[in-house]
Amino acid sequence: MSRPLHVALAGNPNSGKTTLFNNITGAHQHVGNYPGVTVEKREGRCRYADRDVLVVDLPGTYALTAYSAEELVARQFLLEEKPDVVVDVIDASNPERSLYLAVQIIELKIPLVLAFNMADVAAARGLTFDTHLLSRLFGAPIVSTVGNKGQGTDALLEAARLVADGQFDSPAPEIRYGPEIEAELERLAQSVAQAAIQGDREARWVALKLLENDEAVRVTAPAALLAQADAAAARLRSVLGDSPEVLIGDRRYGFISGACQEAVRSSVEARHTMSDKIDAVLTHRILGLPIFLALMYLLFTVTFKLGNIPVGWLESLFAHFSDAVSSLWPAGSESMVRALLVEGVIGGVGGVLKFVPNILILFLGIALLEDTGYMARAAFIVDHLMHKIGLHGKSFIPMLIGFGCSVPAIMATRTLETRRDRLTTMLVIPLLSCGARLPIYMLLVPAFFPTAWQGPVLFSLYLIGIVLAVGGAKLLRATIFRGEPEPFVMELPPYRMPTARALGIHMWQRAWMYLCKAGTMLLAASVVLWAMTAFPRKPHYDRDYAGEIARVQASLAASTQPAQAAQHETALADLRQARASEDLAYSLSGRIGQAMAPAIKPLGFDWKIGTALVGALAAKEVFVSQLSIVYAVGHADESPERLGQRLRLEYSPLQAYCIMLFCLISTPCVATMAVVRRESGAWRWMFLQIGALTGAAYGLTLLVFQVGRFFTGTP
Amino acid sequence: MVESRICPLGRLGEGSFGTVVSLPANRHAQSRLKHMGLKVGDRVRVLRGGPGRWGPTLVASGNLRLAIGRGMAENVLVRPIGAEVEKPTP
Repeated sequence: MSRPLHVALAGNPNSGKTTLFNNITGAHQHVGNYPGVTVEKREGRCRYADRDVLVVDLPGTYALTAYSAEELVARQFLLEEKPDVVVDVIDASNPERSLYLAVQIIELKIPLVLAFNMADVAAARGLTFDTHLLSRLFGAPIVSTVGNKGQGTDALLEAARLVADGQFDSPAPEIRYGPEIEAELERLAQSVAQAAIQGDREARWVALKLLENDEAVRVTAPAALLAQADAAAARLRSVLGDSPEVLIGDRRYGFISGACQEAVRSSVEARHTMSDKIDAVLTHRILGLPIFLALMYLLFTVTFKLGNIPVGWLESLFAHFSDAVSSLWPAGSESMVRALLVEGVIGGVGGVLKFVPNILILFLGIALLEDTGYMARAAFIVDHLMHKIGLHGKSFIPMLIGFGCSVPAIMATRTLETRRDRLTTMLVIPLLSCGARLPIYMLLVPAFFPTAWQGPVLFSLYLIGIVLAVGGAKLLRATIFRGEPEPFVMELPPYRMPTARALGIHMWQRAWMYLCKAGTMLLAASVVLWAMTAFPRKPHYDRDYAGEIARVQASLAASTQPAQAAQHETALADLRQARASEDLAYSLSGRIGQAMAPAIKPLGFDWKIGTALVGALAAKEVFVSQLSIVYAVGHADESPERLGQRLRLEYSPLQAYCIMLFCLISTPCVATMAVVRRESGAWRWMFLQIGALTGAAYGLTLLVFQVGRFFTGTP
Repeated sequence: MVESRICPLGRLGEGSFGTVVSLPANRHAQSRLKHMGLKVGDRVRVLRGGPGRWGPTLVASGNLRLAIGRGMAENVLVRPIGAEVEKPTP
């Protein structure tokens, strides 16, 4: 029994790395974070040749510089975790560009396997490789793979095993940077070794990074060494006429292009491909934007219209489940356990889980946009719009993800290179209506608005969020984050047919994140909030409910005519509801809601809404479960889908709209707060966000309610 | 006819070809472009862009398609190549 084989998967973005990762590990994946930073870490396992293989999918990078968080994370991982072998996924259509990363891995002295992926596309483009020669030049085995057809997976694992076991005999090349740089490198490496700062790293590598002016390495070096490195850099600049960073990079490219000149043949002139033909339409100067908007509208329409069919099934399933659990107790029972189970647990979590179909479809749509390559076009199309609000075209992607969930969206701001761009994007993301607000809209929109109005009402909420996000970003860029936006370069990968498997894994992982949140945090929040609505219990009621109920029940039992019986039943229900209202008003959450009531009255909210808003702090969707608990208290046997109808009796459409507006804009959920705190690295950004959003929500809702009331004449 | 006047990439008309003469002096911008596969001497074709256009310039270089922001496209210098190159080789 040998120890597991540790494999790290590296490669450029769009090299098909993730597809290969899925092929190797199948469903045995775990998504987490690298310690201390929120760059996603994907790990997976498989068995090959009676050996456990642990595969880590490194973030997609073009190089291993200290310029971006992803590159730094990938480099730190390779340096610290020391995997047995790195599989570098090369986009076989762009070998020269892709091999730059390979050279940087070679410099780290880590055993390497090169996967020439999408070999079929490269062949169709007339590229042929002398893989034996390339393999010798790079000192690494080369395996041709076609990720989306599942070809080459076993060969790749076999090569990884060979290299890890030291059975591959071609030595890794030593990249030489020319006599002048080499001389400086050698001197600097000696000083590094004397200062003993290299740790697990090679002294030569540390010296190289010091010459390259690498911030992450410089901070580990003592002042004397830095001075020496700067002097060396100055000497090189005066002799060679350029900065060592540029010269060293050029030497690497020289090595690569030398190798490719010998080993890569291109028989066809690169020209219009199918991808370009699609781009001629999708990025068309006039058609591009309408197509983009249409696709976005389609995404949301499908999410809601198609998603609501299984939502209906789930609703009735939960209603049946609720009834079945209720029936374990005698009718009219006041059991706290029954109340906890039916109202706290089933009511709370059920109210949230039934929206999983919407979220699955939305994330499937986003996965489709990403995997086909359209997402990059979307960023290209909206770049000039984004520039107008002072943001990067790339900010669009985290913002689009913000419509799914603010938490991954804020994490996705890591693709932005400047802190300024990142913070601006991060701060406005909660204004983009996330998936967790959807349950609130899906509850209130159908309940309060006629069918013809439902689409426009929903669209208006999304639009208000977008307008506010744009305004917010503009405001931030004009005040706190003044300055020129970061230069923009982005690759538009060729369009690809996504594989069902990749879409499935993609969608499942994101839905799972939502489910975990619903399953753990929301259950806890629901139970705590239910307890807040149930305790403390009122010791003495204002009226003698028990006596009155007993009297009505006696009359009911005695009544002979159906009309009379119905009258008594109504009286009974009214009594129970009156008692429940009194209970709720006395409970902790009722008291918080009541304390808030005078402040939120001008917005058209009563204390029950206030109570539910307190709950929405835990997570936006808790607003729904909280309301369902608040209203189920008086109607213990009412099924959850009636909540909408129940609310219709209490509020006007204007109030319902104001509730949705307030939920859209106000304070983000605790998970968002936490991730903003972590990603921004400071409490003040989190507090700024909470304060600004809640203030804006209050002001705007006040305006809408008061103006709306004036026009509609509702009280 | 081959025109040899050097101009910024952003001024090259849609559909035109050019050879990259120099990359931006800004070290970060330069290394980004290089890492993404654009080098001095590369032949590029402008797919979307040209004077008077909003948004980034989309260029084709070999099998790569890169969207380069306005600011950066002004700092990449190219030598335009005459129209005869546009005919695809059979």
